[in-house]
Amino acid sequence: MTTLTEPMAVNADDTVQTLRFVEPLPGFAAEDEYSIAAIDERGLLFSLRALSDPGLRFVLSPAGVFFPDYCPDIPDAVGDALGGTDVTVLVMLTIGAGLADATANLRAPIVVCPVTNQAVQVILDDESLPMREPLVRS
Amino acid sequence: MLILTRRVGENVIVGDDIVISVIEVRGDAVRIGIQAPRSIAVHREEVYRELQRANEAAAAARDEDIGATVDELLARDDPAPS
Repeated sequence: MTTLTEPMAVNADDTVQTLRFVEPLPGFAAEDEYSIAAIDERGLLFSLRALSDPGLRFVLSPAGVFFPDYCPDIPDAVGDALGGTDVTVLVMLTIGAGLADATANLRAPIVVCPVTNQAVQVILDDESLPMREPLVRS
Repeated sequence: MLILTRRVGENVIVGDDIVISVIEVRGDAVRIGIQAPRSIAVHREEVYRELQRANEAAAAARDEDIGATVDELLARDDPAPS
């Protein structure tokens, strides 16, 4: 079993990036700075860990990894808020007992500007997008 | 709570710089427009509450379950279908 220990970074260059959220994640108003690091060497999953509360940890995946057709339309205002127009879209995962239980939130992706290292969770105005989409088809 | 009546085309101003407009009324549905500074997040309440719950569930994942999921992913022939 893969053991998750600090640091979780196994990026090629072993770097841990810090992201500043321009709005706190809904439900976690106290935190706005997180570290992000790859969990696996293939870059499928990333951990997002609150700097001031390392016990608060989310799992993210680059949007295209599991959902190649998922290309949400990110409003221009998001780029403005992040300070850059080139943005990366990740989805937040909910991990249960195993892969079959894992879901992704396609309604509210995490949008990151790699230039400014600022991020925000965007609620897309498309009610057809699920908040709990199975990660893999069984 | 302030309760007031507005007609289509009329506005309510909140603080200095938040303007809420009644755009259209049809049956029991009201279309409203909200102008607010970018620092003020505006959401449909039920969607925002659902997102709070989804985020809390996402934060509750256990290390061992994440590890097991990573192992399952890496063991697949095609961990990331494309």
